[in-house]
Amino acid sequence: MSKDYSYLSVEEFHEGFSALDELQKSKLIKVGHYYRGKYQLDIETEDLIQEVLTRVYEGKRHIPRELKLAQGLASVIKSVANDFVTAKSFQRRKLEEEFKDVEESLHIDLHNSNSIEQVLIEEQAELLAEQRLRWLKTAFSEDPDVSELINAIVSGCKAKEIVKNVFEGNQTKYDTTRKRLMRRIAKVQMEGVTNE
Amino acid sequence: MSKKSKDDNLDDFYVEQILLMDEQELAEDFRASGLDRKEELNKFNRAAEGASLSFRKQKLRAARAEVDRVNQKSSITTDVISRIKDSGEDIRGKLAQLFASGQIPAEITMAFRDGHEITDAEIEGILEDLIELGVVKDDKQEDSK
Repeated sequence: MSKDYSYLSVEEFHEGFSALDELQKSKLIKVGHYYRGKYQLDIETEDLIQEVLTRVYEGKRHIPRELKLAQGLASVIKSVANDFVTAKSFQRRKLEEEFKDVEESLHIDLHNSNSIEQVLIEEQAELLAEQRLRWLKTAFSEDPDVSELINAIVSGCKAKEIVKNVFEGNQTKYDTTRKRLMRRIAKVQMEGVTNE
Repeated sequence: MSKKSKDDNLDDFYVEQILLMDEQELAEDFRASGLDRKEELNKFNRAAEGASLSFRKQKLRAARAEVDRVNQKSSITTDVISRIKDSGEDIRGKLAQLFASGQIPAEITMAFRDGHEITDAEIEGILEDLIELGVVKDDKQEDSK
């Protein structure tokens, strides 16, 4: 069942966004870098942020009232970054199609070309997600605590459950473990920055 | 559970961790990821300005239009009152005349009746309301039609 959301008006969004402090903005910058890296976007993070904000100001994306502004914007960043991937895949496939000879293209059921495209995009996304998870597990193969944390996260467990079930109620152990994971992700981001 | 939802769970975890960070933790994360926070904030602010430009211009246009509308209304009202005064007509008398002819809306009539000690400024205020309501016409505009 779909949940009924009430959304901020553009005016309300502008008011809230203008009041964001540097800490909140910095967090959104980090989220932008994360999704840019995840989806391997060939645009700069500030371009992604500008696109996100443009869509919100144009009323094409909305922020639910019940979420904190930064949290709502983080969701829009993910969704717009994902749009870029889809658009990029679409364009690349279109280009590839131009090189196919007529005989080969006749084997494609034209009526289903949209669903074929969609399936390919989803397959590609799943493949990337799988690679990412495999890489993360390999990176921490010698750190059983982080490995268990990753397993719990991908299973959908929330922080309280993880502390209770994985770290036997030891909050400190959970905190140090999650920080190790975050530091590793930051390090990967740095490798991305220095490789540019 | 599909790979995609596992991936979504990882995203949720990362974003939640970032959003929960305090100043010190975030500063450390910026350092660890090799990002110059000040430069990144400048880029962010430029992106925000670019994205909101059209909205801000639209707001400014609306605000200017409102100021113009109020100024124009105020100017017309002042002109009409000045012309009444210049013609030597007593404003209090003009109001009494309108009152007697039954042209004044009930709520203003009540205020006028109760106002045994209505000052000239208040009389002008009532006249301004009547001009805005169109009860008192701008003779100059009427003549030019």
